[in-house]
Amino acid sequence: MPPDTIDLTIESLVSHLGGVEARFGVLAESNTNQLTVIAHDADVAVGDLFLLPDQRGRRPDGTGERVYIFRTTQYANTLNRQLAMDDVARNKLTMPDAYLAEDLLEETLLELTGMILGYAELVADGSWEFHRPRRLPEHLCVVYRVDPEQAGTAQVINALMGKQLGQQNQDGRIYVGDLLAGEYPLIGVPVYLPLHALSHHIGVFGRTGVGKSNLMMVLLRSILEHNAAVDSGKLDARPASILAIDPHDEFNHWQLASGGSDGIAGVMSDLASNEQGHLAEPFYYLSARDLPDTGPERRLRLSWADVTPDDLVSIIDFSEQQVMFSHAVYDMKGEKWISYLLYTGAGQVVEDIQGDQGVVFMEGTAAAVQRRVSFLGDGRSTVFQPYTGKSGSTYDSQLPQIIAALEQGRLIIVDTTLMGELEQFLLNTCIARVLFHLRRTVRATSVAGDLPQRLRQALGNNENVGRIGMRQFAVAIEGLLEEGKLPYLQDSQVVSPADLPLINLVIEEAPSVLNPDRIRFGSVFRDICRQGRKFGIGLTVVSQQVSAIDNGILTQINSELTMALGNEQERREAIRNSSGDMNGFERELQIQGRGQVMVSATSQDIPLPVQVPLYRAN
Amino acid sequence: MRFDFHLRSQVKEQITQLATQMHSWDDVPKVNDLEKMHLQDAITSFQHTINIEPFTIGGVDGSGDYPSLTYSDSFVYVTLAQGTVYQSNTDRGLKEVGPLGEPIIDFLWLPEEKKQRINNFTAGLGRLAGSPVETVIDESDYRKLNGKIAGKTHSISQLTDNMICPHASDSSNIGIQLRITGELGAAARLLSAETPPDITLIDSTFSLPTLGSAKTSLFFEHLKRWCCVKASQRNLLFAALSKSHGLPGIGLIEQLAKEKLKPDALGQAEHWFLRLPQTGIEDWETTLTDGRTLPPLQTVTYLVRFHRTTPVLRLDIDLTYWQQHLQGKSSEQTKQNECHLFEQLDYASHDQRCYGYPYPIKAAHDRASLTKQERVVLRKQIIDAAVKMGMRRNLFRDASQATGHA
Repeated sequence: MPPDTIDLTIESLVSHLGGVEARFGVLAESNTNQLTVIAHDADVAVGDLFLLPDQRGRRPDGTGERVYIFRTTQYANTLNRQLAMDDVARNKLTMPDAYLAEDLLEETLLELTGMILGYAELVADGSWEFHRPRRLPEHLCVVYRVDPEQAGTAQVINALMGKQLGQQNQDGRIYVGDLLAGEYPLIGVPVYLPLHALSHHIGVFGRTGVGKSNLMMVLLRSILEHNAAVDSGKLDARPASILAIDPHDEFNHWQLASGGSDGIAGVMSDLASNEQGHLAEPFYYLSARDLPDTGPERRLRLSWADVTPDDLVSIIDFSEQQVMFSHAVYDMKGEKWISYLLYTGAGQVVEDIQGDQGVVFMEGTAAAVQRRVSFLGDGRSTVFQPYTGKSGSTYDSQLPQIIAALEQGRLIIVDTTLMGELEQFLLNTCIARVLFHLRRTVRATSVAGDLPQRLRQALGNNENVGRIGMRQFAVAIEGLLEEGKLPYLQDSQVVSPADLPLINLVIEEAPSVLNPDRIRFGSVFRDICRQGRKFGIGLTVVSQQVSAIDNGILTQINSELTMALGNEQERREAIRNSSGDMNGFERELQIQGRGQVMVSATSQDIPLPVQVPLYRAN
Repeated sequence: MRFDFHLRSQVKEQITQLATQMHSWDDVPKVNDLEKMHLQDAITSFQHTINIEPFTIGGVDGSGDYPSLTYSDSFVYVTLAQGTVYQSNTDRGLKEVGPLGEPIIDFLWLPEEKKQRINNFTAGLGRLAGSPVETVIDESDYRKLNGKIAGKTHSISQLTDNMICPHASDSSNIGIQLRITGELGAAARLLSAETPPDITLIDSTFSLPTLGSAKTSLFFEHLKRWCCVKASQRNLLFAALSKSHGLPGIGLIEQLAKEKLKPDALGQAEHWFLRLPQTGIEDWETTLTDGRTLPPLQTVTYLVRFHRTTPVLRLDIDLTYWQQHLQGKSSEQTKQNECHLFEQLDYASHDQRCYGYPYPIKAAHDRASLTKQERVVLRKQIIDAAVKMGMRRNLFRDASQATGHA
């Protein structure tokens, strides 16, 4: 229970809300779908929260008292006992010198319509258990407004909804923001996703300019704080890793250049030296820019040897013939297949395959595949370094170190501003595929001595049958395993993936790699979506559109952070694909402001509107 | 049952006959040129008033549930009445004056047994009036007026004993008596207040239906006059404003007003009043009131139109007050005084919720109205309380609901 929550009886709850004199309205018509409340005239906003204390279920021992939580979807001005506001308005407009007399009794009222989010019920241990709205509040019960300005409000909401807000996740949690009541956040009512949401896939949806980057910063910061708590022993939980693709190079220094807050670099620099060793080494920032090869901020390099046909098929359009051809080349040449394709004539390649495997491909197919890998050749890629396998050609890649870092609970930002779109997608795909295969192998292996060989095989390298696969990478991984930098073995036992850090891979501009056409021949991302949670690997799908993402991917996302979307269709899709029931929140999505996000997750019974705070380094 | 009466030829024929009758009745007033001239002379315009010297104005209205429920051969009647007081205000037009008086809420149980019924009814009327029935009869001038007409003055006890007390099941007559008594009771409370409003309006008329009858009377007649007497004693205006003027040929009067006041070509004349000729004051009579006791005895009656969109209203004022406060030394001065009164009323009739009608009455009406749900809640409360006392719930019934009429 967060320190600022309290045990509440219904009486003390009312007093925390300002006492009976703070009564805002009275329940009028009600059913399990919708409530109507008649309330005092006040400056209100759609999305305001209200509490309805209710004694209907009270048992002799005092348990069973309930507090319903009600959220407005619509307001209407009304006049007490005045049936037709139109007539009044017409008189005001057309009748000379018409006035509205000031009455002692309130004649100007509000009619609120909205939905019950659920109710909290007092249980025997004095705490409140939240339930979905299966019941109905009693007739004419009194309604209290959740007022962000009222001192006790946060305590009340935390007590009633703590579990729904993710505050009671014992295994770690990720801070998203503060619960919104109308237009204003309830400071002191933080909303969290459970840490395991990282491996259960997260969707971040919102049109450009609504604050997705700021949200990502808040999430990154929260993950870093979680790791710090685990590292210091304050929290007995798994660490978490995140590979955050940064297409605008803003995560590292955020708004420092414009006089604002520093980004992750600022947080890292504030760490104590021992913390830096545990949380930031060997690096936390990679870029295609001309950076040193050592230190926490490094130049990013991967190798042609890290790329497999599956990676390319995941990011570029391939025909079925081309897919088969690529696999044939890879079977023959392994990690050298890119250089082979780039430096060998199409006819020769076809001949070589026929000689090696007895399979005949058209030269046109070979040429087409060569064109598709050409973005890596002739120095066009600043990230993917050539590897020919010939003497003098070295395997120059940070992929093994990236994998090792992620397996130790690290935050890694990858600045992709200087990368081509394909390079960025390929980088992501390579890392995802390798991680997925390694974790799957670790899970499948029970004998420590078998692990190195199994890992090699998972990487397609089996010297016994002449398969090259990712030989260089496998060698590097084996070295890291021996050095203890890859924590798959502990006390001569294979570590279960359940004890390894949760890893989340951020897919920016997700429709480019997760659209239905792209993944029709298979995609490592689809595999991760379907099976990743078993191995502790998840995706964060960042997109301006919901509709452009493959349905198979969307159905596997268990937490959606939905910000303002561009149009009606996208809002409909967001509601349709939501993990929680977002029906009734259509209007909410329509009027979302900057930094406001609807959090919907399988771990919650109800969607929660949240205000993401502006990121601050300190 | 399917509703198809309106399609039957017999029904259509009857409706045509009805319309013919109404049309011929509408033509009844045969006003000669001289009378037209008097009527037009009497039509007086007043200012559309948006600025006025400070004054207070009250309004009362009532409602009820008649009956709320039945038990065996007894009936429970609920009456609700409310008074409001407003002060003229530069910013808001009218501003309500506090503290707001408690509404009059009365639950009356009437069994059919005669003695108990009369006792209960009399006690209920007294509660609504806020004074014992005998006191009201004694202090009211109704007894004197009745004696003047009937030729014999009855004692208080005679009048009390012979007050009309309908059968317990005669809900419409009982309802009328209770509602009007409740409204007049609310007015009486305003008039008796420490700081009473300068003007108190009631949604009614000053008609006295049984005036001149031998001994029988309606209690609200006594109370109505009692309010007039109390108001006059305190130099307060107590007036009854009715939306039903009850006069034929109103179209003629409106036409005369239009001709005299010359509004826009398409517009209706507004901001005018017409005092019906008063025997002994005016030297002319009108045929418009033939067959009607209009103005009622001891009353001055006006027809008034505040705004073109609201109908012509009837305003009854106590004759004594009129003589003391409105009647001037000359007819011009009288008109001046009358204009001032109607300008006050016009000022109070500009609220957006009921433009053209004094808002204090509307406010009182809104607060005294019982919604269907409120009636249901009250019934439940009454039944629950009775059941707690040991009565059987299933003997209470809402007659209309039990027979499927509601």
